[in-house]
Amino acid sequence: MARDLALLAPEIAVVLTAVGALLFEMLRLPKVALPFTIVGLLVATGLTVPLLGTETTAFSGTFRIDALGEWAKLVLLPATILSVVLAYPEVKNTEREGTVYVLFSLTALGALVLAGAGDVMFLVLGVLLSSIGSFALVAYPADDRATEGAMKFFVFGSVTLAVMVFGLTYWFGATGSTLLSDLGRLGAVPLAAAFGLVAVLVGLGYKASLVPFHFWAPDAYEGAPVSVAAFLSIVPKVGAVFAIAQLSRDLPAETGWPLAVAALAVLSMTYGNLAALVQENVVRLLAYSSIAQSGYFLLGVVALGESGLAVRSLVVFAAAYAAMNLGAFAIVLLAGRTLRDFAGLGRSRPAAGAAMVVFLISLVGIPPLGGFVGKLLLFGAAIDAGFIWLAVVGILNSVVSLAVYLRIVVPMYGQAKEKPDSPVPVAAVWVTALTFTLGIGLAAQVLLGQVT
Amino acid sequence: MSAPAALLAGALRPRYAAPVGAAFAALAVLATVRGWSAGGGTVDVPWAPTYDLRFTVELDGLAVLYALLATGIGCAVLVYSSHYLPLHLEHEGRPESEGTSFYFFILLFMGSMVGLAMAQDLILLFVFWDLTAIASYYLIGFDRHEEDSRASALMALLVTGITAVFLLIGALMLYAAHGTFSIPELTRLTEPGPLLAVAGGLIAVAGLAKSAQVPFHFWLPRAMAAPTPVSAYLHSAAMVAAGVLLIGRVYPLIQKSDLLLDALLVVGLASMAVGGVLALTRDVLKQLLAYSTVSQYGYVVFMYGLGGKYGAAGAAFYVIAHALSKSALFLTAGAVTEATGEDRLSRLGGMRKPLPMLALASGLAAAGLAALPLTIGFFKDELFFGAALERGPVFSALTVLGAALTFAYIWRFWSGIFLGAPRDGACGVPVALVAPVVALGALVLVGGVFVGPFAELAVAAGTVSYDAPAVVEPAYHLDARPENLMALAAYALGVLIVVSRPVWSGAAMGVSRLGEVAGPERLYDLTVRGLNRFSDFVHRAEVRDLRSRVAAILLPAGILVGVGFLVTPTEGAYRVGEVRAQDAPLILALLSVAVASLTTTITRRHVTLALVLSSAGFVLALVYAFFGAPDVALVAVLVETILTLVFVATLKLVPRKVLHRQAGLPTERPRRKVFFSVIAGAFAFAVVWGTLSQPAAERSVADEHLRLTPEAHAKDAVTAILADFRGLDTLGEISVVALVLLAVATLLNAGRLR
Repeated sequence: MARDLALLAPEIAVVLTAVGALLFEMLRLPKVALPFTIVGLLVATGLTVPLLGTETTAFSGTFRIDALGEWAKLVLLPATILSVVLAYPEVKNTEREGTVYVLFSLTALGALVLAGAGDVMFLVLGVLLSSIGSFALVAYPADDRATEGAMKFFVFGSVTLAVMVFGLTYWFGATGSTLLSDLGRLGAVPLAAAFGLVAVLVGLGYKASLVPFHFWAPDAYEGAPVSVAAFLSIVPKVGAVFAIAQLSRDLPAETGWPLAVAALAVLSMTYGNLAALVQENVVRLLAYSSIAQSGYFLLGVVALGESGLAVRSLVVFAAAYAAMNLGAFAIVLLAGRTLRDFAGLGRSRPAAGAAMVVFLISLVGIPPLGGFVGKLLLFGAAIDAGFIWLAVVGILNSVVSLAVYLRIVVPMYGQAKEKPDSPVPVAAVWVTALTFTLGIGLAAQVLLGQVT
Repeated sequence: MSAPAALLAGALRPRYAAPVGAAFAALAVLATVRGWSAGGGTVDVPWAPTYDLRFTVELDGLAVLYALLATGIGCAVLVYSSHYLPLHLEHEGRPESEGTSFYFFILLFMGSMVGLAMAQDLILLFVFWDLTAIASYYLIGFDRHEEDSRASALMALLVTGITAVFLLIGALMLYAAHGTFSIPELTRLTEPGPLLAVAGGLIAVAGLAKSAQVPFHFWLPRAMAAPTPVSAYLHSAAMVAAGVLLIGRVYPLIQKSDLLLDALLVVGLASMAVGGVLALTRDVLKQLLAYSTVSQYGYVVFMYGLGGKYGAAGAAFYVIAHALSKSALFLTAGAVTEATGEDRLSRLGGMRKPLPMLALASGLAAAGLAALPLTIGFFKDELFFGAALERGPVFSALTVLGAALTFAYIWRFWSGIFLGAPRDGACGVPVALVAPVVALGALVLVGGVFVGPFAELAVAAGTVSYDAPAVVEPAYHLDARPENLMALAAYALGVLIVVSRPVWSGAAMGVSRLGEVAGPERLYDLTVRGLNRFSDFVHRAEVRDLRSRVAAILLPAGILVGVGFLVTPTEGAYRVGEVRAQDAPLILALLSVAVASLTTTITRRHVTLALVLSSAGFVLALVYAFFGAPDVALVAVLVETILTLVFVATLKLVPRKVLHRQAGLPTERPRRKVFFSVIAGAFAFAVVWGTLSQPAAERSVADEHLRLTPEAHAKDAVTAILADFRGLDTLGEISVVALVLLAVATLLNAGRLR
């Protein structure tokens, strides 16, 4: 028991952070809740470092402490911290400022539970935890757009969760166990296996906003505060993708999961990029782009078990994706939500403009930035696993995505408008994100050496 | 060797003033020459060695040639633009400060071009390749307030960018087969075969598109929307040259496949013909030069296609000679337009009077392109003919025809500007606009007399491409050898074409018109527009009401399950059981659930809907009781009761008017909704049937739990499971409930942000 609890130290730290922040909020001290959350999450990140390299499970196999779970903490907790910092200028001096930070922590906890899930109950739990907090975060501004987005998000989330639980009961019925490691027994019952797989892909696909379960994402992102949109596009998504990876490792190949996942990857990449091409609202554009990026993630999932690169590629891309996407959203918070707001940004705020260009071309996957290294590894893993066609589709999509992101870059160097304000927290977030985007690209070898 | 690299790194930094830029370019030229005389060198820095990513550059023959072109002509162009650009911006009514980005991008382009020339690794090559594409996008679209200029820039970017992906795919194919991206190593490892042909072909397509070869040629004339110095640089010495540079770089691979060589021959010939004929029809100066570039690079590709040492070295020499002449001609066009304000041949003439130096210098350049003796161009044609002679009379005839076409359109260009009756309104142009042309013209002449150094460069470059010593010795021979005869024939034919202009002009215009109607440019337009329309359609399809979103979950899920069925064997999976008498109450209960569910689809009143739903729930609880699970049934009854109460209470809160209006709304697209539900229902039915037909799984977990319950000091299994076996889950569920409460509390009192 004690050993199990020690292994869960980072998660426990996150829970305590949330509880502590909530206490400060109850004492009407939101100004303390914010630094407390940041420090608490930093401590949780720090507690993860000694776990690196451990490959074990806790609580009789229901929770996994492995490379995916550990790196999810190392990537997602800092991303949560940055989102919280980003949220501060947006929600400060509102009625429930402190609870926003609490919701961030708890939603991140849901993502961590997903990333380390070793049991189907944890999949359900993770989706629940990461969804409920997100509904409230999206609805927080309490205006029409936010309410509409949150409502759609809520209905969509509830239905997909119901479908997922329904399908998981078939797996339980067929294998007599809720452990993911027992999924190997599914080979004998193909029908239940297939239905359960579909249901799980629906539930986790909704969380990772994969096409065709992505419909909530653009509306929710558009209605939510920018910091929440940034958070939603990274933390729950990466958690869900890692959960799909945890699950796929144990599924017998005869269920056909690699093909199903590959099909979702193609759909997500292509659809996300094509839909992003016509968006006028930068938040919606980034929403579709993040849908496409989840498709790239799946390239690494498909290669699991076939290629030694798969886990590394997922981790490296997750780190790069978190940095560059967070950075892009931070600049959106600085500049404004429509393409028109970006006109002349490169002239009025040259540093922020240059940073935005870096984030966007890193999203395309141009060397030597983090996005390139991540994508290269993903494509390499897919090719290794014999999915050359999938890698080719991915590369072609990267080309289309260049056109998507250029739509933001081009007006940035047009006629300058008035100079937008640049609050210190926002600047701090994009500078950090920029450092990581560049660092992951240039020091790829160091990072790769750490991931086992 | 590190000197040029370091200097170029310096040049990459945004140096805003033209003189500084030019100085950097000049320094880079010197550094390259010094690096070359020191015997070349290699820089090899590992980047992510585990995955064979390294930064390898080497200053070999090919690299020196293109690096010298890029920096040398770049230097001339920078001097030219230091005076041209302020004038240009003044015409456009833009502040002078906007010129700074021009210098930045042109230096960025120069730097990446040198990097491209020296790269020995396919991935590194790809990186620099994309950098040149991006820099060119900004340079071509420099006049960004003009719609046409932006569209042209995007076209150039898309054509060269999309084909760049072919380069990457080809590189990945070679890597998958041989485990390296390094070109010299690949040369050693590859064997002729389909893999090499496909991979090499893909790489060659990238090169051909960048060199504006048929059928990718259409972006080049459009790119003439760029300011003149950009055209002079990108479209004579840099961007288009990058394409043949790539072909020269991977030529050791390409020449192993006869199929690819033949393909190069065909593409080269087609480009020579299309470019040459269209150049004869164009009136706008820069358009004429653009098509001439298409045709001239057609020669280069043709020579690579011919192969052999003459092919490889000749192609390299041709690139030098062409770049010198063509950039001079572009700069001439810019200067003339600057002096007169006219950019059409039909409105120009007699410029030799006001601009004698320019006339002389550009005359030299034109003579170089037309391959007259005493210019460097003569040798380019000598090698060209020599390469063709190795392959037989048909090719020789074709080359003569091509050279004649060149002669004709260059004469048209030069005589159109400088000869004929003088026009009014011409003013002088600054020295800085003429000096670079004079310098380039002088180089053309010097090359025609002392061909040695140029030939040496070409031989070195050709040796790299040919992967064996490619020694050729261009020289003047005053005898009746075939090359000389062919040159004479070309001049004669060229004069004939010029003289017989009325005879063929109609036909040439026809070809040009045909290209506009059915050419690849139209295809490009259609593709781009189609893609946009599809994207719009997808967007519209998505913005619909909430119910269609729910359908959007059920339908794909249903389809996925259906696909799952098709791929899994279902034989024996479906069994029809027997109905026994004691099952009658169960069937009755299930039937009433079905009736209740159907009723929900027709009722319009909200309260009825809530009640019907809850009645279905209560009957299901009854079904649990039948199956011997009274505790589950009890929980279900409790949950249903609470839910019904909450439902009714919520409805009470909503104003009656709103409910009434909602109930009165017609159902949108009812048929479609029925279709969706039938699909989702059918697949759910199939799944349930299939699962129930399976024998029940062994009850391993349940038995285990029952066995362990006493050990956990619990009185019943449920408690033991909740508090002990699945304690962590329970904790998680508790936090979920807490989170829900927190979320609700937050929302009840949320802050307005905007």
